[in-house]
Amino acid sequence: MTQPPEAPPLVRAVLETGPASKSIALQAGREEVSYGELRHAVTVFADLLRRAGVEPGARVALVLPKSIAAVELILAVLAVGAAYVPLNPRQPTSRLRATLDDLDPAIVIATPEIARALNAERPPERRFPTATLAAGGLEVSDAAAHQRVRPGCESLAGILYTSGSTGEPKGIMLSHGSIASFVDWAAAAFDISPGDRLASHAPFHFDLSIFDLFCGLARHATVHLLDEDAARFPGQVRAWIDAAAITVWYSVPTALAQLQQRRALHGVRSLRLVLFAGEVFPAPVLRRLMADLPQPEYVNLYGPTETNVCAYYRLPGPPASDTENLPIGRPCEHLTVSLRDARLGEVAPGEVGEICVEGPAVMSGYWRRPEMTRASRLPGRDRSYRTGDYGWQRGDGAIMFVGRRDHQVKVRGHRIELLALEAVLNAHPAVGEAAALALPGETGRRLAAFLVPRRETVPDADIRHFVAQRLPACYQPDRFSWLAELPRMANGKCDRAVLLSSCNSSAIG
Amino acid sequence: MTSSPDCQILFHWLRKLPGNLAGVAITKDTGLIEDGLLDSIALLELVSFLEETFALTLPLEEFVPENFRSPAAILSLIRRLREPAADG
Repeated sequence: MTQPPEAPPLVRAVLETGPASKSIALQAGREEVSYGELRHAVTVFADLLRRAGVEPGARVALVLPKSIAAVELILAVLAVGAAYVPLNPRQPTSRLRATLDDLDPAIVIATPEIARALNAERPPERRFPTATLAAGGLEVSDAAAHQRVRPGCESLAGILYTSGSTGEPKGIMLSHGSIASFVDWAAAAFDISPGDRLASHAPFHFDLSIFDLFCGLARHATVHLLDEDAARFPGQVRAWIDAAAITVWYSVPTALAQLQQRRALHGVRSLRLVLFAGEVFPAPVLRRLMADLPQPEYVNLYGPTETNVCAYYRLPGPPASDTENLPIGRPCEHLTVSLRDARLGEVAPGEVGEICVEGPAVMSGYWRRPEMTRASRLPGRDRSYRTGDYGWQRGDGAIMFVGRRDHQVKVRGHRIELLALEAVLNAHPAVGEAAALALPGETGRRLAAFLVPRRETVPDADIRHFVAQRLPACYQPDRFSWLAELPRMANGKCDRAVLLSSCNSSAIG
Repeated sequence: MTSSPDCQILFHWLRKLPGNLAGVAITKDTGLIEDGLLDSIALLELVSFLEETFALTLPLEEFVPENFRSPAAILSLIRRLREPAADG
C-alpha cells in the first residue's frame, strides 16, 4: 500500500487553499461552502473512506444526485488516491447493476433508496459494498472489499461510462495526469480566475462537468451547481443565472437552444464566456442566441470523452448565415491533432481524414477492454486516440467536422449508437424489423423508431418499457412509427433517406 | 372541478406521457417532476401543447418548476394565464 506523497494535483487547490479559504467554493440552492469548509469536509470524508477500506488505486462508484456533498465526496475519493466513477442515479437499476458488475467497485456511495434497490434480490456474495449519503452524513453499511489494484491503475483518477456499440457499458479511464493536463489548458485558455462564477450545468457522469468542477476549483472560483430538475425550466435557469451572477456557462448546444427558444438569456449581464460542446450547434439558433446575448465570448469545443476537448473555435462573431458550418477549430495547445486516411497516413492539406488525437489528456484506455483500447489507438502510440470522426482542415488551420464513420449520432448531447437501439428494438417479441434514425430539429435532434410488426402492433409504452430496461434513458425514441415494411435500397438495406424524408413533412423540433 | 374541460384535456395528454413507463395512475396531486414523469422533452411538448390548446403564452418567469409540479399546479397556471391582468 503506497500513500500518495502529496495531494494529487486535482485536489491540491482545495486542500491547500491559502488566502482563498474564506471565499465561496460551491453553491447549490440555498447551500454554500467556503474553500476552508470544503477542505474540512474533504478531509473528513477522505478519512471515512480510508477507514471503510478504500485504498489508493481503488474504484469508488458515486450514484448521487448533484449536490455539494457529492462534490465533496468526489474530491475525497481523489484525495485518498482512488478513482471516482460518477454514475447516473436516474438510470434503471438493471442497467446500473450491469455497469457496477463491469466496474467491480471497492464501494458504491449512493442514496439510501438506490443502495437498497441495488442489492435487493442479489445473493449475499454478489452484493455491492455500499455507503449511503443522507442528511449530509456518510454511513458505511458494508466495509469496502479490499480491492486488488490492477497494474497501471495507480494513477487512475476517474472512469466515465458511455455505452458501447451494442449498448453495453464502456468505461473510459482518465488518469490524474490526463484530467490535470486538460484542466491546466482550459483554465489558461479561458482565463478562469477567483472572481469567476461557473455554472455547473452538466451532470457529473458527463465529461463536460470536468471543466466546471476542476477548472473552477483549481482557480479558486465559485462553482454553482444547477439542479438537473431546475435546468429544464428556462424561467428558473434565468432567475438562477441572475441571482448567482454567473460569468461562465458550459453546456451542450441543446440546452442553450431550449433556453433561447424562450428567450431566457436575453439581456443577461453577468456572462462573459459561453462554451458549448457535444454536438453541432444549428447556425440559425446560434445566431438568435448571439443576438439575444451579444456580449460574451462564444467558443465551440470539440472532443470525445476519450480525449476531452481537443479542438476549439473562438467565434469571431455570429455565423454570417443560417447555412454556415461552424468549424471545430484549432487543436488545443496541449495536444496534437492529425487527419488520417484508412492506412493512418496523414492526408494532404484540405483532404478529409479521420480526426486523430495525441497527447497527455488522452484516456489511459477502456476499463477491462484491452482489445478495444488497442483498436482505438494509432499503432504503437500509447497516448493516442482515433475519434471515428471525419474532418478536413481549412487554409486558416481550422478543422471542419464532416461526420462519423459508423452509425453513431449525437442526440441531446449523448452519444447514441443507432445500431444498438435497433438491436434492442429488434429483440422485442412484437417487432419483426426495426430502424432507428436521428431527426434534425432546432432544439436538438430527436430519435425516431420505425417498426414493422411481427403480427400486430403493440402500444408504444410497451416498446418504451422494453427499451428502458435495456438501454440508458437517452436511447428512448421520441416517436414511434409502425410501418407495413421498411423502405429498401437496391442492395436490400433499409433506405434511411426515404425514412428521413417521410418525416420532413411533419413538424419536428 | 375534476371534470372541468381543462382538466379532461390535460389528463388526456398526461396519460400518454412517455415517461410513464410503469403506468402510474395520474391524479391531480401526482408529482410530475418528482416522479420523473416530465423529462425535458416531455416538458417542452407539454408547454407547446398548453400554449396551442388554450391559446396562451407562457411568460418566461412562469416557466418554473412550481407551476408544473402536479396537474393541479398546471391547471391553476392555465386559469391564471387566462384571466385578464387586472387580477394580478
